[in-house]
Amino acid sequence: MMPKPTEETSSGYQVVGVTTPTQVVPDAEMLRRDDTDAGKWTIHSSSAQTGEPKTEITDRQMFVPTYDDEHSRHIRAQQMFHAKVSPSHKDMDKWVKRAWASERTLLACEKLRITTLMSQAGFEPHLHLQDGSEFRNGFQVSLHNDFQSAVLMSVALGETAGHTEFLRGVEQTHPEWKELLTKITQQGVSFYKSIETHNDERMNKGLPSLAKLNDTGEDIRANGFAYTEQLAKWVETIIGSIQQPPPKPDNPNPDGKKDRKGKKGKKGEDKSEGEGEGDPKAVKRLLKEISDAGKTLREHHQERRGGLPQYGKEAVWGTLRVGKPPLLRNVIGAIGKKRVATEMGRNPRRISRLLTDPQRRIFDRVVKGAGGVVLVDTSGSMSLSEDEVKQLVLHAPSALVAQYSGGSRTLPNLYVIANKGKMCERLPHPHGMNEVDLPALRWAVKNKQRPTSPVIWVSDGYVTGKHDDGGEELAMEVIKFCQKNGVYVVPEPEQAIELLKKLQRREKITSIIPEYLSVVYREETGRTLVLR
Amino acid sequence: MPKKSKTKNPPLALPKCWQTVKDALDAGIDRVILFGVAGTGKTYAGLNYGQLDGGAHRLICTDEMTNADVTGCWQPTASGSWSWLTGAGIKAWQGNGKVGGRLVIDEIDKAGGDVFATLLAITDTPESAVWEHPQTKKAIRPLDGFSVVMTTNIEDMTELPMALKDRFPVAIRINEPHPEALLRMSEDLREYAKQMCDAGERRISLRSFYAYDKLRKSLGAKKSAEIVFGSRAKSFLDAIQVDTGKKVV
Repeated sequence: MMPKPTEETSSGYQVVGVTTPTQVVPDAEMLRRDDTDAGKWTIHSSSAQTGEPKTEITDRQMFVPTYDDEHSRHIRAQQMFHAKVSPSHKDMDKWVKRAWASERTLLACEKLRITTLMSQAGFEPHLHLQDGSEFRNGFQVSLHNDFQSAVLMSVALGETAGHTEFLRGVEQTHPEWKELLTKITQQGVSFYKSIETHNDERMNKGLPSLAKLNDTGEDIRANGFAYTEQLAKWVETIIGSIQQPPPKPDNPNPDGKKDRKGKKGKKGEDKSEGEGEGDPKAVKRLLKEISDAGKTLREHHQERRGGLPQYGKEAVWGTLRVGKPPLLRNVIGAIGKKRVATEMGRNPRRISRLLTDPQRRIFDRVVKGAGGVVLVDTSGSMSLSEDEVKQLVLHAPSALVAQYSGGSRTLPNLYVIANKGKMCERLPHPHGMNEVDLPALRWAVKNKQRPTSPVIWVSDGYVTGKHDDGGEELAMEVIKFCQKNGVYVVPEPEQAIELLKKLQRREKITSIIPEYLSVVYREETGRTLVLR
Repeated sequence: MPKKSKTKNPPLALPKCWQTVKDALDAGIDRVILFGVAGTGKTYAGLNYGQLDGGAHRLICTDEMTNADVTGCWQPTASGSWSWLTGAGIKAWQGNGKVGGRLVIDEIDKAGGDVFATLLAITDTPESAVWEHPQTKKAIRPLDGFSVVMTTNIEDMTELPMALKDRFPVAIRINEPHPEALLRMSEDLREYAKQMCDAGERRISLRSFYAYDKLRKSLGAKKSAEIVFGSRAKSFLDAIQVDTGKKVV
């Protein structure tokens, strides 16, 4: 018997039999954007698997499933929303270059924005958006203990049908992550939803509304993607503050739901367990901190138009100009290399010790200092006298000491005032502003003598960028940098001297966190700032 | 995708293509081809824009048409004699007797061989164009001010015969409907109608939008879309839903 002939549809599919599935092609030409003109789109038929559906805005190409079912329809709507509001590849590069958040986090938060917009437009992503790979992905990230990826995937899948499956996968290995991931994702959704509510409130008060979530203006303040950037920045801050979530309790119950129910009935036991690792209380506290941080994120949007910086992360800081005045004066003390007596060696330089030293240490051994960099903020808010700075130099054993202060367009804003046992004759006059806190810190870390050399930053934490503009954004950047590079922070010169003395005695030292940085960190993350 | 031009047209200002048409005709260009998708108002522009003191005459070309439509034909009269009925081409040549008129030729590519040849003669430069009246035997030439606007749905101008292209140095692609045509529909649909006009094979005509606009007032969006757009109704409504961020009711 001859096989039945196959029919080819307009999309190129070969369909066996006499019926042809109904093909639904999205009308992407109808979409309007503020930043690009409308035009013809090329629609390609693709499968519904993750990675297959995609939209290339620059070339006006869309890859979507064209079946006439709700699942395909929702994927089409998702891609249509990308075509409507997401930045093109070229524009995305600009956002990435702003460096307030990584591309990976931006993409995850953008997916959540799209899903939120879908829900607001009357689609049902919580029922229909799912491709079947979510459980496996959740299981994989938790198996590899990759909390960061778990957060990003959870955010990307937020409000979709696949989110529940993803969490179920995570739960297999890390049941204690489930609540954290849910909480972080919820905060993201609440943030996006609060934008419309807030705009409505402003309209009722007769105030001009801010950018909508789906706006595509060329100016960043008129572009909804700015909210994606804002959320991405927040997500990264939260991931950074949590780093690794509290481990699972010692006797985990394989069934998460039953486990939580059990805990509810055993409050007395919880109290006696304390708040150490593996303690359910620690998770609970963390959840509250995430809630608080999410609330701050929403409040910031209302109070400060989202607190969104106009410029990229690098452009907000002043340009660092390093000045190196001649270091002519010897520093009396322990700066630099030091020779100490030893019983072994090549050249007996201390021959008198044959008689005076019971251990007969007639040779020399060179002992290098611990090194280190002391960076002194000499801006107006610090009100440091010349003598206080000098005292810092004298107490900095074998350290590179620099002072910085912005405010001049031409003169250096960072001066190296001591290095290798020598210091400058007269200390440079500070300009009064900050402007270059983060670039100065970067310089200090880069100029460490050895990877283990400590970097001590003497500052009250009131950091500012170009034109002496301050803000929580800048403070958070500095905090993140200090955390990442293990910078010791002390606000007062006396405390710095005390810390330097401890360093000389090879005692353990810790930062004394400036109040401003502490407050900002708590507001932004809901957590207590911990520095080295 | 090209960046959107910084200066947006005010609501009723002419789009770029229409402004070019207007400027060309106002400046006295007397041979213009308007090409592009159907239903955008090309003929309307030919009949209404520019110097029209000599009147405007329309000629719709088909396979079946004859030279009678262009130059004229003999017609029996009530008295049993025959009189000459002048065609649109010659009428446009003569205009109002003082200045030449406008000849608007729709779909010239659809005209048959002999009509096409006659049209070439009619649209030739005034110095070469001459036609002998069969009744009066008088040589007739186009009067000063005679102009021709040719419209076609052909997208690729290379498909037009060289002789014709040679006579029409200015060809303007019309990719947007005329603003006055858009004003006839509800405001929320105007932008979609404008964009879908130039959407290639997925183009939606203005007439479909008019019908949908009228129907939805009594039947609601969903049913109206199903009646007008058939199987395409879902994607049409979904696109509006995505674009406006609201469910279409």
